[in-house]
Amino acid sequence: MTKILLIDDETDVRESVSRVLEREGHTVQTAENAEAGLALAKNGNFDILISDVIMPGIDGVQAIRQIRNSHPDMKIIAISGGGNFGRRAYQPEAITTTAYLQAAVEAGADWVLTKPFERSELVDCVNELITATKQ
Amino acid sequence: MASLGKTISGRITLGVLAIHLLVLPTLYFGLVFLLKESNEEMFLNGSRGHARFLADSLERIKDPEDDAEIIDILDSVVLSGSGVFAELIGENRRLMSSLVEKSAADLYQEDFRIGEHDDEVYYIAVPVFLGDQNVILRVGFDEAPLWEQNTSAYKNGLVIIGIYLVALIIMLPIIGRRVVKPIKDLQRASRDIASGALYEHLTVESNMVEFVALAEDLERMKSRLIGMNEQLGKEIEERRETELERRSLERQLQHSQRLETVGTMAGGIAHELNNILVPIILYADIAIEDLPEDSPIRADMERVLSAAKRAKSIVSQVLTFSRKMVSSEYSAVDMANVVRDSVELLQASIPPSVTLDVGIARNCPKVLGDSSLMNQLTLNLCTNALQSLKNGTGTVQIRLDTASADPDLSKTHPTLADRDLVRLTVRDNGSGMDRATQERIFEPFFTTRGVGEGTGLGLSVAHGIVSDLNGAIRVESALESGSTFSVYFPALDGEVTTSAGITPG
Repeated sequence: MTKILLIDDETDVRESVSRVLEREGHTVQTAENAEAGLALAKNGNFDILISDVIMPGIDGVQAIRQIRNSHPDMKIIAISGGGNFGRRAYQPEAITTTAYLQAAVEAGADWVLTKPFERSELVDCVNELITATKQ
Repeated sequence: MASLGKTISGRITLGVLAIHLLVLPTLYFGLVFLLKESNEEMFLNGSRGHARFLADSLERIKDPEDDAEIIDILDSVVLSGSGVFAELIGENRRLMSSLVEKSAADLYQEDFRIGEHDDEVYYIAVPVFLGDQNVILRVGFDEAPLWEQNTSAYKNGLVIIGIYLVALIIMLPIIGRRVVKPIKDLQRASRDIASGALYEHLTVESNMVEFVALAEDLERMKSRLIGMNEQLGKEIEERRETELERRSLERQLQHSQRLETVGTMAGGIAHELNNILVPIILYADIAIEDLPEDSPIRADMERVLSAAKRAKSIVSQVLTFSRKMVSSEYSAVDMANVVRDSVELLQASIPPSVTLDVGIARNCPKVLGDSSLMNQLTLNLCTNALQSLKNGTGTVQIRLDTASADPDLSKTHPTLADRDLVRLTVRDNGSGMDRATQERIFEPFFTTRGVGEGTGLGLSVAHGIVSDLNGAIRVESALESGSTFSVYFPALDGEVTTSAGITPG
């Protein structure tokens, strides 16, 4: 069972993403800002962090950098409502994203998803990261 | 014509006439007086000479007592017609030959002046020695011819003065005109200059120094005028150009500021919409999964999902317009390949009534960019061109070549000046655009197409891509003759380091 921490300031995003991941059999805990997320990450033993990048207060890039430092093994997915060219986002030669997502990758994110992602994109991405952890 | 007193020739005429009215009577009376004097002098001299001659003839006779001889001599005066009266008066005798009344002739012995006594006869008395006697010879001359001479002198003088006046009156305007002509010439020339015929030569047909000097002065003035005129014209032209340039720059600045504002706004809205679309897409997907295969709601939910995906695509295009890319994500792109790929895609979808005319220059340098974005840019420009064609018929010309920035482009995009540029041109012979449309053509959601034919995002996405790549996009268009979109990218020279994109971990 995979434990996932989800940080996003949008309630609808938190709830819909949680629903999708829980249906896949994962455990999801949510935080509505980076401060709350960092507090949860300290005690909880999460496998994957999914964090929005642009948020009020501490922004996602800082949160990702802190968690990467404290949890080197945790897989991190950055999500943001930046530019999106569908599945091409997964092809390195054609990646286009915002400076924020670029910064998130530099801060330690393993993957980026641009909103609005489809259900399959989200599920595939999480599954791939779980497989990578097991290897 | 101006009244006589107000023109130069009129004044000269009047002046000369006034002088003549003063001078001519004086001249006339003086002349006539002199004539009269000289006539009288001649008359007197003639008369005296005659009387003397008569006296000499009498003194020479042999017999002073012979009255018959004396009478003969006296008669010769009257008979020759030079006198009208001759008389010899002695102590005791009186001999006489006369054409006048004797009583009248006896009244006076001698006249002191011509015209005395109203008798029209001038009497002269001369003492004569006749033998041993002292006698008096009295001779009378007719004054009438003298009076006639004087009268005709008056008349002739008047006639001469009259002829002179008439000639003067005829000549004066001619002389006046001759004097005034050079002035009129100069006046005409000045008028020509005033009315703008600056290059007419200023001449005057006169050898009068003043006029020649005046003409020279005017010519000099004209030359300076021409010089000043040209300088002023040049300055006005320069200012006009500067003003036009300033306005054009202002316009472009406003345009790009507007696009930037719209872009920022569109980006913000797109970001919010993306957040909203996440739950819509995810919940719809879950709902579809949960519904039985045959549920009618399932189809509805699928529509919700597909609508949401369409929304996502539109938002994504808006973001392309508004987004500021990170340049490190770019790599060297061969535009020739991009154009070929795009054309291949288009060929499959265009009707046979449309001709795609593709020209790709050899050895076009690469440009820094993103091939999928470049592809989208090319496709967007071509799609716009295809949609502009009237009745779906026409030609879309696609050209890829190298170029350099013209002055306009250098001004609006200083980074492109003095660089090799790669130029992509998409030209259609469709309906074209008016100026107002051209102004707004790159704004998101601005469209001239009918409902359902376009989102109004294609060209704003193209603009976004070009701006991100530090390129320039320009449109030239005329209603009914088509539009040309030109895109300029700085050409890459030498090696380009391809930045590492985001690689999955």
